[in-house]
Amino acid sequence: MSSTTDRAEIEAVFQHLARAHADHDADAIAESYAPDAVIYDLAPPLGRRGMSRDGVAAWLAGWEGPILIDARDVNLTVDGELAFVSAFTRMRGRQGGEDQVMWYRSTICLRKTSGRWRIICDHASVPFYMDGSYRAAVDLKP
Amino acid sequence: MTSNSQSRAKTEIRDLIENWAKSVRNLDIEGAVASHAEDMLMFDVPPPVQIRGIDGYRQTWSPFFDWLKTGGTFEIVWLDVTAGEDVAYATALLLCGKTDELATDPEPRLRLTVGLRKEAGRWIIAHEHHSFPSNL
Repeated sequence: MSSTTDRAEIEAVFQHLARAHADHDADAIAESYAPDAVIYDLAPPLGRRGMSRDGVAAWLAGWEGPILIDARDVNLTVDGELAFVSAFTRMRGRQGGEDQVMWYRSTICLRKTSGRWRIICDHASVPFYMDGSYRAAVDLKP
Repeated sequence: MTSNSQSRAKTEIRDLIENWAKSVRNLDIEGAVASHAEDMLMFDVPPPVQIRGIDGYRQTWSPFFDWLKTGGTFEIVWLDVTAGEDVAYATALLLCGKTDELATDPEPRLRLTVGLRKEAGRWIIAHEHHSFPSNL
């Protein structure tokens, strides 16, 4: 399997995820993840395993209309069965009648099993001001 | 990839990361940067949002070492490695805090994800992502 094919297949996973967010398709989001995927979300808890369909549906319900996701500075490292991606992800949408735009750092690892790439680790974060305030640096942009 | 070579790769990477954390605890900067790619990318806890290259990575440790000297803990409590032929990733949870903070809240707080690639038969770290969860 050529690396070009792997890259195209992984790119398709991210396109699928972006479309699923725009369409509020909880099943499509949950199915992009391995059942025991390590999830480090922006918000607590510290970590969890697996992306539950019901959890995703509840989160989607907090948004009005499409959730738009795009990424820049995408850096993909891949061999035939394992890949990791670093990127800056931008999420846009409406919550509580207000437009929201948020940037965060993403590290996503994928594994190919039974011919299909799935996410096995999804690490999202913003920096923290370590000046004693421990404030999340949500104002920083890449 | 045979299960033997996969098991060997996992052991090598586990040792690499445990040694890296030990170097950090020992304030050993050469040990802390010994297994990293020149063009590595780091997402660190404090700003900036990214640090590119080994020189910038090296500089991030100086303020952290100063903090460790005041009684900070940096200890891996959980580490999981997944290795392919030439690409691997590791994820870990770490205790990272002052003694008094850990007395109040002894749970790990730092999430770490590491991306590695194999070059000339040797695993090197190409990407590190350190973070705390945040109440946005």
